[in-house]
Amino acid sequence: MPGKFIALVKKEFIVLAKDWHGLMVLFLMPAAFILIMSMAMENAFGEHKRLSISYTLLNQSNTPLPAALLEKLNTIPGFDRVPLPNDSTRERVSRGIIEGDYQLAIIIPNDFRQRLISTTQGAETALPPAAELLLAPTVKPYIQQIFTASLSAILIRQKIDWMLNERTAPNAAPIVPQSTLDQLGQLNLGATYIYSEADVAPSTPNAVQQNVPAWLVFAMFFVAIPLSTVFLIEKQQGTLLRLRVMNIEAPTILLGKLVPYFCVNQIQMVVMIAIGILIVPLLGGQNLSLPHSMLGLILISSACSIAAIGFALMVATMVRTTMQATTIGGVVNIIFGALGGIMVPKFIMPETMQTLTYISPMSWGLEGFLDLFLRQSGWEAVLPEVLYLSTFGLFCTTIAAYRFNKAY
Amino acid sequence: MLYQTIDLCKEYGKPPLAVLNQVNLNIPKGSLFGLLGPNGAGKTTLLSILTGITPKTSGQVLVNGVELEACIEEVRATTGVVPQDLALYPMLTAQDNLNFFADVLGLKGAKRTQNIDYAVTTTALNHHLNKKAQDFSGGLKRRLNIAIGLLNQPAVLFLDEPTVGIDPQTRRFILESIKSLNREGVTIIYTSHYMDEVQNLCNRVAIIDRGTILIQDEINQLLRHQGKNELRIHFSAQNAEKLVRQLPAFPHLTVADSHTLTVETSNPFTVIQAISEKLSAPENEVEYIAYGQQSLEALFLSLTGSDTRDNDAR
Ligand SMILES: Nc1ncnc2c1ncn2[C@@H]1O[C@H](COP(=O)(O)OP(=O)(O)OP(=O)(O)O)[C@@H](O)[C@H]1O
Ligand SMILES: [Mg+2]
Repeated sequence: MPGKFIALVKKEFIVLAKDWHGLMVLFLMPAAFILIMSMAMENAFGEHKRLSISYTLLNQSNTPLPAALLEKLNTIPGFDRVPLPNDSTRERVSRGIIEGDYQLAIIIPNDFRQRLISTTQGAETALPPAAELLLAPTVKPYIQQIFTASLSAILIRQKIDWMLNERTAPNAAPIVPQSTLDQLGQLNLGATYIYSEADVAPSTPNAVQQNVPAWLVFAMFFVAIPLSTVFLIEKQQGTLLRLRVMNIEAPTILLGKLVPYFCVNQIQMVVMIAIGILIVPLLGGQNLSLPHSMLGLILISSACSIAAIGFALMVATMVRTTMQATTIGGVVNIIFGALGGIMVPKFIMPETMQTLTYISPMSWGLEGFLDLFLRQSGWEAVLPEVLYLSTFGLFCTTIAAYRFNKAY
Repeated sequence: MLYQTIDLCKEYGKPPLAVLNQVNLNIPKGSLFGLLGPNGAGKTTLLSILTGITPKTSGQVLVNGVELEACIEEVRATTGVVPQDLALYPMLTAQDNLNFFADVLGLKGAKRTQNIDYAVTTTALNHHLNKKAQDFSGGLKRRLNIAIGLLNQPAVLFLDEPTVGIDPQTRRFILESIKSLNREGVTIIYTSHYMDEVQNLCNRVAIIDRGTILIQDEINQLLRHQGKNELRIHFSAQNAEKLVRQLPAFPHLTVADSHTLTVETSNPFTVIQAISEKLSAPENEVEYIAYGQQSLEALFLSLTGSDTRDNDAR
């Protein structure tokens, strides 16, 4: 019996390997969607990701800037400093902004020290600008404000340093010691994100975190098409009868479908996650990090596979022609996908719609993967989804087995 | 008797519709058995019951005197089935198809190689093994379909209309293969509605219509018995109408069909003497003259009537 079972499994693999359309649906389609959607949705998810803006610094003064000042500039949180070549000019920096090398530039004038410490007596004369800020038009006003505020704090510390410590002799200890100055610049504003009770961790995924699991789950369910097509050919052409004459039992045939497509689903998972980790970042997208819980990953992908194959077997045993199999399998999957937050991420949907997503098994699969990839939860977190998906899968398989037994 | 059915009945659907009616069939070991019947007569259903694919409604099927249900495993191991449909994987090569079914049959090692060779040689597929079945011509597909049925080197081979949709050359090849299998001792049970094919091939025939066996016997007995006092003159052209007017008026001279004249007589030689001069001209295209035997087709039509079966409202 195991020999015959292996023959059935092997046959299924050979048939699938020769089925280019099936392979494209199972592997190329999700890969393409992951790549395209991760790029296309980068901005849609941008609001939610950590602020990271690049800026540069052009020093036109003939004296090097104080080390303390430079160090402070380098550590403005959320802003990354891009170094400039030595012979940079103001024009060159402007061009850099236009070409998108950085979005902000600080220009330090040649009489920086004078300008910084100068004061005015009356209100009628304005202070000369101590430094100049160049901005790309795409920089949002609130980003500019954050940057200016940080920059001002740093410059004011430097101003105090220069103003107070100027009159002392070169070797004399400064009137205001460095440590005090540093403390001047220290102002801690506590910031805490407030999430709704359920979510302790971030609740909205970035583009890759959304798209890799979403299209993976979608593609897993698409085994319905190759599986049911082959199944119908077998049924219509009488190969199933032939297998029966050759003493193969009905459960062996169903298991002979389940096992190979389970493997296919797991290969899909490995490939799609690899694309998220290795290829998306190469194309400039964010990268995906592996979940902490590998056990959780195995559980959810197995459960998702059982649901997908159960559904596929049900379709296969309920339709009459391969046309019906591809159409019904395809359309139901697309509805599952639209409803399950595959095409439109769930967190964008209005609340009533979000509740509706739970009708779709794909939504459960996706939530399970998001638990792991986004929230980095432990394996226990995916148990409800695993339970739902397995129940759905077993329910469909039971219907399939019943129908198959009647027809076989 | 190898296969014997006793009052075998089969009903389908609700309300039950009888597809097989009190079928009593006897198939001797070593015979080349032809099951003839119009479309929808119940041939495939009968074959499916004999091969244990479809359960019967009532009656008995005995194999070597044992109830089929009791020995189904052994029977299957020694039986080959070639279904009416092309039961193979179109996307696989002929070789992959044969390998797969050989594995499913549990064949291993030398036996596996030997049986695949046997199936391939018998159907002369040697030069087509690496082509996908879907790229095969209709004839090659039929041959592969038969090859798969031969993989277990069966002692009994069921063939359901194996010559549908193929050219005369392939048909002849397939029929020759069937004949030589039978000579090697394989019992063949074979359905068709090609009369000439069955008449030439089979040594035992049953005619089934609307689920009822109308007649079954050795082919020679059958034809002799049914055409006891009949002299048949068969023309290769449609000359019967024309010639009947030129012949002396015999009693019982009738036009059987456009190719055939029949004369009912107990003394055929007198009749032949009287007509031989008129008929000997080559332009009359006499194909054969037979006495005491009618064609299977005539027998078939006389038994089943000439209305088209698939128009039946049943
Ligand atoms: N599964 C089924 N359910 C209901 N009716 C069926 C079923 N299979 C066959 N029949 C009916 O039984 C009758 C006999 O069918 P069967 O296929 O045995 O005929 P056949 O002699 O093989 O015809 P053909 O020469 O066209 O192959 C037909 O009227 C057919 O419609
Ligand atoms: Mg038939």
